[in-house]
Amino acid sequence: MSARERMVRRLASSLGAIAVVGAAVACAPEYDTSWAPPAWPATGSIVDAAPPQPAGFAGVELVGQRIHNDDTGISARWGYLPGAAAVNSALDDVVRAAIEWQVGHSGVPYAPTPGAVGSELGDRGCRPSEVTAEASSLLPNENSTRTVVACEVVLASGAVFAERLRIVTGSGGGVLADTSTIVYGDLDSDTAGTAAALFAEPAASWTTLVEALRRDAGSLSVVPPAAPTPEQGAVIERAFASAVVSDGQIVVPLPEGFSVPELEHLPAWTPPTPEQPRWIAFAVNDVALSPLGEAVLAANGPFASPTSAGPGENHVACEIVPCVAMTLDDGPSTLTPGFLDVLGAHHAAATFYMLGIQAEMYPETVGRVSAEGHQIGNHTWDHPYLTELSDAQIRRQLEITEELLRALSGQPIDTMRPPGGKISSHVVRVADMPAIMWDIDTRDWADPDPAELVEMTVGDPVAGSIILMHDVQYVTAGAFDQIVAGLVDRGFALVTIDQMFGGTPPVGIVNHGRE
Amino acid sequence: MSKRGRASRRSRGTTAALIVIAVVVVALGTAALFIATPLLQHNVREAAASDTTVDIVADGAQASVPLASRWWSEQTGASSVTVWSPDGGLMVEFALSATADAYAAVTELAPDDGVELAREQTPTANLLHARAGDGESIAGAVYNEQGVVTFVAQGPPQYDAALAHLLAGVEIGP
Repeated sequence: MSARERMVRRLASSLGAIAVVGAAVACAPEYDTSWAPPAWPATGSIVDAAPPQPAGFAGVELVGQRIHNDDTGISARWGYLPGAAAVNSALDDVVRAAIEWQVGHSGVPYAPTPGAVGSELGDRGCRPSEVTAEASSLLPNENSTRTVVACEVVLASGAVFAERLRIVTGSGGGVLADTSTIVYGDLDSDTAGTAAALFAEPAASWTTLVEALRRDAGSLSVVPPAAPTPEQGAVIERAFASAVVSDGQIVVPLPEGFSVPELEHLPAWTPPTPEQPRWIAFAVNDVALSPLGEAVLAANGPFASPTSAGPGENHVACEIVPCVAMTLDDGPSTLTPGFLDVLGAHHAAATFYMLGIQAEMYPETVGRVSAEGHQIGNHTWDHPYLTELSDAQIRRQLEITEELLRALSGQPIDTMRPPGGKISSHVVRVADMPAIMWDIDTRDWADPDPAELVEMTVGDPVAGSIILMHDVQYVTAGAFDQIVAGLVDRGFALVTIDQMFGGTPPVGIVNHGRE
Repeated sequence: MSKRGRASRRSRGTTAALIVIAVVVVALGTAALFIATPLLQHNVREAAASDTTVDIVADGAQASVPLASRWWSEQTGASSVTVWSPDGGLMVEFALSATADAYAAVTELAPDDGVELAREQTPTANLLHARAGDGESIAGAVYNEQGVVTFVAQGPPQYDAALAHLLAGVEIGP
């Protein structure tokens, strides 16, 4: 073959190869490298390590609460924020839930019960060390199951407040449960709730939760998760109630054994267990927040702490704590300011059943009683026995007294106490207001021995008792500090008649706070 | 003419013939590429100009596989089709059978031995799947009473959402 022929053959081969390569290149797809695969909708991420609880926050004054009930087996400490009705009500809900939990374990119904004399239950409110202590150290070393509630303030900024309640259940044998619930409150709107209340739409949060879990388990289904059943809603509400908000995330603990149909047939899904707990973390921007949630996350600046109008205006839950109503008759007198000083020192409230003639002599004292948050009641103008008066005379006695007391105190005068305890259903009908009697008659007007007076007044009351004393008796004035201190030491909350009955005393003749 | 002259004339003729043949080959090849290609039904990869579906049939069953705009497909047989995402990062091979046992089919296709199958639902059918240990491939099936469409997907986990929406659009009918 000549050189030319070889050259031509090579040329033909090259052209053929070029044709083949060109065809191959022309047939290759032109992938669009600018195209990006769609991502799953924003959901949470699974976390296998416990999120850090928010640090305690000092410098907020709470009205400390405490219960200790050996029959049911529960001890609890928490604190109310003065004047924050919604927050305090939400705290009550958490404490009630802890009580119900313990009742379920112990089988013993709960009733607010004071301690014995010398119980030292006057030490109330939060002990921050308890929320970080080893759970087992909080439990008494006994075989029966007990529940302990500890508290601390974890957020106080702007108009936002949050208090964490840690609930530990167990016995000397070990810890059965150790959970925390944070109650958040926005003081500007007077709204509050647990972390569950930070979310706008619980059902949507459920969907987001299930989506996050099934994507983590490798799901390839785009069928929307089923709406939660009421039982599932309750489960997730409890889980969200224990969520922790920090660093732009909301971290929710998954309940033990949690599973739903969307997860049950995914081999990669493992329900959380006590040995392997799991949490799910949402970026706050990925969940629909409620107005409370938005307020919590936007909180900044110094805390605008609400002020209390006095112990008689504070929130109290007498179905949780043992309450006793101290009532003081026949004043005001020159001794009344001393009684007020004692009550103020112990953060205690009382109800003063005043005589019109006394109020006329000491109008400033009437004003101080009201200003310091105590309740004022009608004890008639000049102390007649109402059962011996005509209807017109009864009305006259009560009306002129009410008019004066209302003018001097600025508060409604809507309960009465009949002088000498002389009362009848007829008198009540004429008076047209509850007649508040008593179950603890100290007889302090009979010149008792001071020590015996203290012993009886401190030792005899039960939850719901109404104590009769007189702020015109020198023996009472001298013993009053011991008496109030002794009642507080037994775990009593000293409350007004209105507080005892939730703002609405029953009609008729009332002898006891549990009526 | 001398022997050398005749040899030279034959050489020039051969050369010319070879050149002509080469040019014709290239021309025919080009023509085949640009003219005949559209006429071919199978083994041609093409991108969808708009949202559409690709039908596959087998033994009286038929299924449609959704193909979003710019996705690529290649019908590899009457009962099988392969699709690619627009960027080529995800490839899914579908095959229809009217008689297959979905569990057995997926177990055979599964990349790892002894793997447990995930059981879920699409909007219109049942879904089985199993992922390889390296996370880069998934074998599975979309199935109902009318048939079983098995699939093998190749692509990293960031294509899972795209794959899920693709599977959700597979419809199987008689």
